Amino acid sequence: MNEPDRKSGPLASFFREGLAEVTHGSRRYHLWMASLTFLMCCGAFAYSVQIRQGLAATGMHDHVSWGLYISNFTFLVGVAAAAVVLVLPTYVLNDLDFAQAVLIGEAVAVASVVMAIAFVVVDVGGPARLWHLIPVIGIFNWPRSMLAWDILVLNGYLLINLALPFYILFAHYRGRTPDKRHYLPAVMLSIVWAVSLHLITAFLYAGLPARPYWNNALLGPRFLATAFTAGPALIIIILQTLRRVTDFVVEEATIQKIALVVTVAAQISLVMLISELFTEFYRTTHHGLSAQYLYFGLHGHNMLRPWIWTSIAMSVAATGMLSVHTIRTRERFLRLACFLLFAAILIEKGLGTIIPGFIPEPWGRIDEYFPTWVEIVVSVGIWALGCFVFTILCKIAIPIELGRRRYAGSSPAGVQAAQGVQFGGVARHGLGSKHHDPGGAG
Amino acid sequence: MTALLIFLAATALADNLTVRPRTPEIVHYPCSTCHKDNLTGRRNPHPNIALKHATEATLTCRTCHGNQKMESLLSLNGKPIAFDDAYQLCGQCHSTQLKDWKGGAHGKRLSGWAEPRVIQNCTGCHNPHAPALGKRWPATRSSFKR
Amino acid sequence: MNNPFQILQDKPVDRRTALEMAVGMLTAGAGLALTSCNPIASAESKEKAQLNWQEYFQGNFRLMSEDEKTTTVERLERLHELNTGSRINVAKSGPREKVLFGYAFNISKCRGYMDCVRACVKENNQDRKNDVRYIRIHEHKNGQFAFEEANDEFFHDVPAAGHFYIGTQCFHCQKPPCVDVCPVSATWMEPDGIVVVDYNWCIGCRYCMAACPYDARRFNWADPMVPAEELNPNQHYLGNRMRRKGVVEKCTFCIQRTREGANPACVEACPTGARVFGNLLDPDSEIRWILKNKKVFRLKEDLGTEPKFWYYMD
Repeated sequence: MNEPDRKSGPLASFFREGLAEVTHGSRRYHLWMASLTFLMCCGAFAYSVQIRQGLAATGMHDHVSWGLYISNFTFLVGVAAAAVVLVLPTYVLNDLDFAQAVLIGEAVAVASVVMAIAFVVVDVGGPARLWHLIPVIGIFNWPRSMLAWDILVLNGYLLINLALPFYILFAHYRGRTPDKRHYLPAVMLSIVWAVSLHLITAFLYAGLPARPYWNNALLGPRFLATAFTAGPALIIIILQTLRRVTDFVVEEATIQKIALVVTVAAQISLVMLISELFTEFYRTTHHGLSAQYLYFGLHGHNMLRPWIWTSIAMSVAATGMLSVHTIRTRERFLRLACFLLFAAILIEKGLGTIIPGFIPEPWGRIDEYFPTWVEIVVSVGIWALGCFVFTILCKIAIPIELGRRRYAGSSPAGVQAAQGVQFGGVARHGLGSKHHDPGGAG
Repeated sequence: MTALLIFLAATALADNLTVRPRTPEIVHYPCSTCHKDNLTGRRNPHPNIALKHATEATLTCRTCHGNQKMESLLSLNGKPIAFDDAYQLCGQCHSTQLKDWKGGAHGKRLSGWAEPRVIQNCTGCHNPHAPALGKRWPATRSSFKR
Repeated sequence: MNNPFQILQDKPVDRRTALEMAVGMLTAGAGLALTSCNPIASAESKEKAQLNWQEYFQGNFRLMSEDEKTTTVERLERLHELNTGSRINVAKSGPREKVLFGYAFNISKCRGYMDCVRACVKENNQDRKNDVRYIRIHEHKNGQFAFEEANDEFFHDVPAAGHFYIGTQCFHCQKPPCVDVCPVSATWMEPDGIVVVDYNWCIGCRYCMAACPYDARRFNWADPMVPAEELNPNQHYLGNRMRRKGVVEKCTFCIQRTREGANPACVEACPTGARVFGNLLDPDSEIRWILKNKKVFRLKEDLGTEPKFWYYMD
């Protein structure tokens, strides 16, 4: 498959081969990309309606001024942060089981951040004026505005998660071993960054005394717990899928370790939920009206009630399943539990965190919110964009990791050596075996 | 602008404020146009004026207007009070409101916040014969839709 | 315009000014190119395109020099004339010295007339199509202060027996949470205490709306519409000029009136004298007298926002 082209440099070759990889594939691949493109076009059309009519095309109003877009944004930032679950063991603990999965995790992170940024862009009333955020030519209200912080950490996280895997991939592409001195600092940074990313996003809401539903100390930790549940759950589903549709090898041990993270995070999440329910409902006050509205309805308004209880039921069921070792180790049940958790947390973050924060409004009115078709189609379009980006990243990365794509200019010996070299200078015989052989080559 | 013009003809109070004159607004003034003699024991002199102010035990027409010099109002102690100083009369019973009014907590300022303070007598808002404010409909509906 | 390169060579220019010049050149040049390239467009539409282009690139009002402010408001006036044929006056008056505005609301006096609401809508050119109002009047049952139980949809003879009325609007907090959270600093507190919004700078993220504990802010979800005959032509850049869709707005203590020494429209309109406005720094003002002599309180004081809007009773 390699096109021998000694004239061009490795970087140009990398991108050219990447492009070739992305534009060629099986029928199923092309069908998948075509469907995503179609969904993205639908989303673009719905967005054009929103641009023309203004945000009145959405279901938002003065009393619930953030809706589906910001809910999705919040959820996706959590998914993005969860890539650290794979990065930490791989690079820091040198756990080889994670070595294969980590690049997939980074791809999930990149796709999630791209989606998160897209959701913010479609939510603002004046997207053409977003240049006002750029320092020097505009005004960037940092450090006072938490939104300014969030923009910094989000874009920084995107850069890190593009630069780090690029470095690793490019090194492999050239048949070289990635230098620990180069990537380890970036790895450490990305771990800290991932946790701060979601914490800062939580601070966006937790820092507002005007909204008592959000203004508590548990919101940040709760965000982290649900992020480390939903993110890795998604990664598990993706890894299981990749195992089926490509010849990318993922060890069961890898998936099981990630599943353990999901389990513990889900359990912590449940404990936090119990803490929240107790605090809100042991003695109800006016500050707890939002929680009352969400879980039990208020003055006849109970639009969100079935959603949140469904979400809780799914979370409890899935956490229970995962807590039993014999169930967690069965692939089908694991996948089901991960689906349940992902959906449950998507609902909980989407409808159960952002919307109730606005209901009742500061003077007690209950003005409910439900997204319009414009919001739903734009959201689906953005999710399709994320899947699209993720697929592209995987389509480029997997062949390199499987050794199928190598820079033609690298020495044959180097190519051979790189066949078996993974991370940290520790070689591995072929792919798929867990044979540790320090210093040896394939 | 009107306030500025009235300023020139207005009564000045000690504390740097101006009260809009009342007399230009009274329809039948001066009273001596009709009332040449002292009034004695006449009933229902102005049939168009109904007195709905406290009780009959508290006040009648004569309490405020007296029955001699009709050009002025009369204080409780028999001293004349000009119509333009009507607040002095009302303030005899409504001393709390008078204090509030002088300070700015009661009544409506006619001039802008930065201009010299021009306010009005109690009679600017309250009909002295039926001072209670009645009911009316709001100027507009609420904007919220259920 | 002088040869810009000459200017750059002759004297040191700080980066901000240089960037401004560059942007200015870019916008003028590009605008000129765009508009001149169309041979069939009228001179008027070319001018409109040029002005719209320049307006897009304008900076934050707070950072503008006096000349830039003059250019900005004149541009707005000209654009309005081109678009509608009528003239408006957009002021850019700054704050007065030694003035800090404060507001008092007498709960005993408010009778639920809502004359203030109607006056405010007219004065501030609020969107008629979407019925935007800065002021809300709440009808409470005697004995019940909680706003959750109050009714703000009343429409009957007022005042209703056994009820009292409280009006809310932007309280122009001395420690405004909305100002802290704006990512582009499109909203800030002026030296005379008014919390304002630069409608051209706002990106419409609505973070300020989430941060406000008093439901003070309104968002233009659609294009605002005011019938031409109802438009108030006496406008202020930071106040009642026409907003566009996608930006946040709110009560500005009628900045176009109060900076000229007049009272806000709501104070002017209230027939019972329930609303009092004045300068907190003037010890002889009515507002200071009220704060000193009446029993005053503010709403949600525990949030530490320091609103400059007090409530009192007879």
